Formats: sequence, structure tokens, C-alpha cells
Amino acid sequence: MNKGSAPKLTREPGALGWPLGLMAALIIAFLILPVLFVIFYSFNESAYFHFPPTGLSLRWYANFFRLHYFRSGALISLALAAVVTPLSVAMGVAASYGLIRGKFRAAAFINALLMSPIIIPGVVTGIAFMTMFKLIGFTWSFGNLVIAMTLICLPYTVRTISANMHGLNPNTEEAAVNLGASRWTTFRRVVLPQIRPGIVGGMIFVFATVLDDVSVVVFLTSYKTSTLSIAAMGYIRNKDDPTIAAMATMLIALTIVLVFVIQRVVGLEKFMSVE
Amino acid sequence: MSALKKPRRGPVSDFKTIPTRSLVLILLPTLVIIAFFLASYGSFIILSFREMVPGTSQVTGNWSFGSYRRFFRDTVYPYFMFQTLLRAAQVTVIGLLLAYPLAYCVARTASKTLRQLMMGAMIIPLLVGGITIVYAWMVLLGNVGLINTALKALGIVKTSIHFLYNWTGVIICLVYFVIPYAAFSLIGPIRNVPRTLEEAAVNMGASRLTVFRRIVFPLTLPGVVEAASLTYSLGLSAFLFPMMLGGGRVKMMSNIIYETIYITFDFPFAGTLAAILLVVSIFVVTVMTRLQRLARRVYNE
Repeated sequence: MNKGSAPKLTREPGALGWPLGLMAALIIAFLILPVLFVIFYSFNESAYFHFPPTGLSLRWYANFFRLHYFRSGALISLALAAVVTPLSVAMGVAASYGLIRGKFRAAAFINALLMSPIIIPGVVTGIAFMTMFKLIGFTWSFGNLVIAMTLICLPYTVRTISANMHGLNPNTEEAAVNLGASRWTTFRRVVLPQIRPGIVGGMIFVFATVLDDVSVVVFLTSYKTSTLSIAAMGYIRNKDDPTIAAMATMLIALTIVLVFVIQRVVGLEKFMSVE
Repeated sequence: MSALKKPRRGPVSDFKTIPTRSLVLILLPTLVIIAFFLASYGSFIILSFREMVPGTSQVTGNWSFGSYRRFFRDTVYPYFMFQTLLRAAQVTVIGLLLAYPLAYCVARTASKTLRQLMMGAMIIPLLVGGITIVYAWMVLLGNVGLINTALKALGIVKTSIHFLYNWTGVIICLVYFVIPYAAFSLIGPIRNVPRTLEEAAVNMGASRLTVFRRIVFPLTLPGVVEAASLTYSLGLSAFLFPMMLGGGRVKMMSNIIYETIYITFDFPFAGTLAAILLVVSIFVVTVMTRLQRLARRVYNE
């Protein structure tokens, strides 16, 4: 469009004015400040914030791993993520395939129901599950967590996988079957590779949600089955030292790894469905 | 290849649709989880129409509107609901005012590297989790925290500003939390505004502000409403941030519900509060969807 021949303008149209650029830079700084601060604070020697710091130390990391409830909380959270992530991805694939290809009247309604946990406050969902599990006498706490978290996470996987599924051409599957491939092989070799970005994107959302959730989980955990986030919440209420900063720094490191994975496999813009 | 069988003859099933039997099988797990979902919401709504047996931790078996009557009789509960709606609105307005310029910059930045860096900075707060965010702001906003230390060193204030255990801290943290969500949902709509339109307006002598007011903003209005809807939902559901940064002095609806269960142990009343919050949330989303449709119609005209 603008190939040299375009007339020179006094200011380039559409280019960012500096006030806008400065504003965006300040907002980015606002977003990144707490993250950088937590990393910095986790190496603080003393238990209280003081600037400049009196010294650097790794003692809060040691403290995190020494405390039993953080260790067991981290284990439970990871176990929960290990179960809920594949479960909600598998169900997300099945649900989006069925809802997109199966042309039936209730599809839109089922889809709306599946998506509804996103707009319903977590505390409401938490109470709902607590009441039901009590009513039917299902007291296995880890099982309660798995069911509730799968429901909470399903909207994310259905959304990311559906986005890929819509772009799928049914003719390619038909061609594979006509050439002699079984239904399962067709799914594995034709469909799956095309929806992989959606699967990876969904997995990352699920993983982050399971590790982080407080508002639903708080109603379903007992003292013995506290997740990492519940253990951390309890610690913040009772103690004031940078142990949580050490934990947060490890979570930040994990998040940065995830962002790189997203960028490589899905692309940041696709992941946030900007495109 | 063992997977390859003899080519099939005759009509192959149509891939654009699935046979009913396979469809039921494929959707079975989804239907099971939906059954759990409906059962759990049904059971807490039933619970909200029960009453506690006085002096015990038992719930009666007969129907009662007692909890609902109590909600409207005690003015304190409608007040908390009103506070929650008001604070969520505050967060939405401030969040959108900050997210819009950020989204505009990301949408209009030509350099891919710069764009990716900005988006990376936006995704990290989104994935890192509420505990990290709330803890960081608790330490940053404390009376001897970094913000107050900096403000005092710069001579802007003499005594520390109290950010914690009041609405200021809660709102700062909630705004921080919603900016990435709002900005990401605005980037697409902003990018869809044809650049040629902006260029034409500038060439004809319109100021940047006029271009924004008359062209960019109206064209992105459906996106703005969508972002507002998302932000408002996030604000209404807030639980962890007001609990930790409000320190029990300022509370939102979710916090009241939690306290009703774990401090007063009144399960039916907690159910009632949750049911009212649920109805309000659904109502808000419905209104927002209507507004979105309206904005689309204006956009198309």
C-alpha cells in the first residue's frame, strides 16, 4: 500500500503518538512490577521488607521445602493437575467434536451449559459442589476436587479445541477413510494433528487454573487435603515472611516456561484468541 | 502399515455428521459432568429453601422462605450486594480505561518482537495465579512497603498512605487482575478497524483525538462492551483479593458467603446468598449480551 510513491505526510498516520506509547509503557510497568518485586523479595534476608535489603539469602526457599504443609500441598496440587488436565482435554476433544459435527438441536444449549462455569462466581460453584457431595455422602476429598475442577476447566479446553475444530475440513477425514484408514486412525493421524494447538493451549489454561484456584477448592478441601494455594493462603494469614515470595518466584519461573511453550506451539496471539 | 485395511466399497458414512449412536458415546462424559453440574446447583438451591434446626448443626427437611426473608429484612445484606455491584463497576471502568490504550498499542505496533514482548508481559499476570498477585500487592502496598517507601523518598507524602484493609488496595489489585483479560479481548476489535480509515481522516486534517472519538472508538464499541462484560463478571466473583487485602474490614459478596459457612455455620443462609449472587451474575451477563447486540447493530449501521 505505502510503497515509496505515497506522498510524504507531516506525521505518519496510524503511527503511535508518544503520549500513547508512554501510557502503554507505564501500564506494562504496572503489570510487571509485582512480578519483579516478588522475585527480588524472595531473596530478602530479613523477614520484613526494607529498602535497601540488608542482605541476600535462600533461606525462604529452604523454609518452603521444610514445611510439611507446603510439601503435601504442592504434591496434592500436582496430582490434581496430573489427573484433571488429561481428563478435561479428553472430554474437551470429545465434547467439541460431538457438538460441532453432531448437528442436533440441543448442541447450542449443551455448549452454553458447559461454558457457564466461566461466568458463575467460583464461590457459588464451590458451595454447590460441597452441598451435593454432602447430600450423596461422597466424602473422598480428592475425588470431589477432581470432579469440581474438571467442570471448572472444561470451558477452557472446549473453547480452545473448538476454535481449531471449526477450521477442520470433513473431506480430509472422508478421504482418509476412503483410502482404507480406520475411524480411529483417521482421528489420530488426521484430526489430532490439526487440533494440537488447541489442546496445548487448553492444557496450559487447565494447569494454571488447577494450581491457582482458591474460591472453589476452599469449600472442598479438608485440613489433610489442602492444595498448594490453600496452604499458601493459610500461611499468609498467620505469618509475615517471604516464604510465599519464594513459592511465588517458583510459580513465576514455571509460568515463564509455559509462556515460551505457548509461543512455540500455539503462538501468543492464537492462545489469547486475538486472531 | 497395519492400520490400512482394504479400501471400502459402497457409500461411506458422511463425515459432516455423526451417526446418533457414536454421538451419544462421544458426548457421554460431557453429559455425565453436566449431570453433576445440574445436581450440584439443584442441591444448593434446595438447601437455600431450608432452615437450620435452632441450636444444632442440622438442616430441617421442610420448605421455608426464611433465609430469603432474612436477606431483605437485614439491610446489611442488600448493602453488601450493592457494594459488590458498585466495586465491580469501578474495577470495570478503571480497568477498561487502562486496558484500551495498551490494547491499541499492541494492535498497532508493527514490530513483531515488541508486540510479543508486550503480550508476554500481559500473559504472565494472567497465568501466574491469584496467590502470587495478592501476596505481591500485600507487601508492595504495606505501610512500610515499596510504594510508601518510594512515595516518601520522593517527598510526595509525609506519612504512609493506608492502602491495605480498605477499598483502595482491593481495587488496585482487582484492576491489576482484570487489565490483561480486558486488553486481550480488545486487541482483536481494534485490529479490525481498517487503518486506511484512520489514515484518510488524518490526511483530511482530523486530530488524533477526533479520529479516536469519531472512528476508532465507535467501531470498537462491540468489543468494548464484550470486554466490560468479562471484567464485570470477574469483579462480581472476586473472593481472594478482597479477603486478603480487605483484611475482614471490607468485604464482597463471596466473602460474606464464605463467612456464613465457616463462621456462623448457617448453611441454608449461605445457600440463599449464593443463589442471589448467581441470579445477579446471570442477570448482568444477560444485560451485557443484550448491550453487545445493540452495539453490533449500531456498528453495522
